[in-house]
Amino acid sequence: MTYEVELRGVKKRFGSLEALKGVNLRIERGEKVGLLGPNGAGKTTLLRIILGLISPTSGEVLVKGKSVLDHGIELRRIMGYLPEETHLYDKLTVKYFLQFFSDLYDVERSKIYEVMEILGISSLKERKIGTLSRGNRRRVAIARALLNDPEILLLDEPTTGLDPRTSRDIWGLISKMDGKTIIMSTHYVGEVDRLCSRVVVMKDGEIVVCGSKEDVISRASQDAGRDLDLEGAYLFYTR
Amino acid sequence: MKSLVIAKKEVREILSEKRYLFGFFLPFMVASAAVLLPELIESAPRGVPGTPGFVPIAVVKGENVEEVISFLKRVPDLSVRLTEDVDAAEKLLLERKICGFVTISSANNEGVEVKFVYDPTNVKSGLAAFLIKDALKPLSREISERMIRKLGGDPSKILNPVRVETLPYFAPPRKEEDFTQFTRELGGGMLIPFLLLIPLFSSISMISDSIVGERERKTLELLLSAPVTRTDIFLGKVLGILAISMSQISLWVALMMIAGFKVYNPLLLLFLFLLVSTMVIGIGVGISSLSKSIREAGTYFTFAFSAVFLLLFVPFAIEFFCDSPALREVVSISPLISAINVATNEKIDIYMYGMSTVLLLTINVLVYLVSLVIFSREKILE
Repeated sequence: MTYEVELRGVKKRFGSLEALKGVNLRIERGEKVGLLGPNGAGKTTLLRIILGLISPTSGEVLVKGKSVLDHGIELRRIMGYLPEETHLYDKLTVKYFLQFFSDLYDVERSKIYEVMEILGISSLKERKIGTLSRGNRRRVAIARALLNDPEILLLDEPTTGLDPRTSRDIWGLISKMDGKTIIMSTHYVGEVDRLCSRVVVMKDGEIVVCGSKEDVISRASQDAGRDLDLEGAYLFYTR
Repeated sequence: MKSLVIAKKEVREILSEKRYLFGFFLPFMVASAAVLLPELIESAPRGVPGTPGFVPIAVVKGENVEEVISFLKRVPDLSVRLTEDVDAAEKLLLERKICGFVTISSANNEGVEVKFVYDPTNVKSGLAAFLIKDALKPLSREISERMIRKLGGDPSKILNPVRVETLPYFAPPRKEEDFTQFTRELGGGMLIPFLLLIPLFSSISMISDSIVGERERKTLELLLSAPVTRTDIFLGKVLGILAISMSQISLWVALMMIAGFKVYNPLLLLFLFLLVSTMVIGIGVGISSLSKSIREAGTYFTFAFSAVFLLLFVPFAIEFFCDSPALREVVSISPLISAINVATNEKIDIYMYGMSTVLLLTINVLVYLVSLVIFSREKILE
């Protein structure tokens, strides 16, 4: 069987720091996977490796059965990525910024207006990105990630630092994305509970538990010897 | 093609930075200074006031001129030379050998009419006019006395027998052949390196910022997450800066031509500049991709830039100051010498131009091969 994303014994070392310690993960098409874990657990490194931004020290990363290292350009065409920090080209206007990426992805220019409409940023199209609020910048970054209508969407802490209204809007948008494979790293257990069908809890570069929400909760309750909810399970495995 | 998309974005970002726009005006200021400086040096007063011959003037030959000259020569500051006619005096004035010339329109026992035609751009002209008037006062008195002795003549002329009229001289518009040898050399030989040097010099911050700047601003991750190769990114950065530098260089070549400097073979000259700029920018972007901060990239690139221009200017110095024909032959394939030869000679030495081009192309190929090998997607994110 060909998985949408498959990691086989992926290790990543940055100098003396072992960021990933042999991660194995299989994600099927259309799954919404929430990566939970404290700071330094290796979530961002994992997303970057899946995207091919960095290569693993050892192990293999396959997307749709193809090696990311060998087919990076082809595979990045079908992936969308929202980095953790919203650093955009501040001197460009929203419209030009999206136009630039649409040209890089070979996407029709009309798609720009479509994503701006979806994200509610059409009225900001002539504004320079540097003048936008944090929430609107995040919307622009999400619009960029959706430009190529990606089959696989990698979201690195999509709502960190945003006000509740903007976070709610983004949750609404993600929940409507049926058919897309979404891998989302986050600190917020509630976000995973609300949006994801599958939970991966990471700690110190390793996956400590992985499964559906129900599986994770029941396994954690069994291991802890008491009833836990998802947050309790997360705290139990990352203690 | 993706590199063109990135280059377009680079140009847009660079042009939105006001500090980079200053780079467009820097060559103008340097070129103006280069042109005006010799003029100022030529027009600057030489010598010490009060010393003999400090103020050079000419007197045009005419009737009864000897008497006027004899009075002018009594003033030690004035250096007086006699010219055959007004044309000869004008020539001396244009060559800035004198600050003005005197013509005597009429002279007889009853009075003298003197015209002093002066160069308004020469600071000595005012002093000359004053000295001439002062020198001719005794003549005026002598003529008055002569006329009173005769008890006749026009009373107004008795009161004011010598009239000195001062008239400014405005040079006719310059024709190409009027340009001094120095100006021609300046246009061909000296401004050419400046045209190349300054747009590249003003690009240092753009070049240093190119890759490491994106990394510091954390926008590089976005770019790398798109379906682009590292070659696309590298070339996109180079092309963006190259477009700005070459448009500046082309602008200044065009302005030089409009201003009357003879620049031969402008397209061949621009092609040489393109190759040099590509090489310098390639080295700079490579350094930027290896550096950990913009400041570090700026420091390393300034060293590299200085080394490159030292290598460009050493042959330039040899060509100008060395007498060895063999050495001059070798350095004549240097890009800068080649650029000067192309710009200042209507017929170029195709062999030498070809050798320069091949040399630059070879260096460019090496620079880009090395830069692309060291430009690793992963390293620039770490």
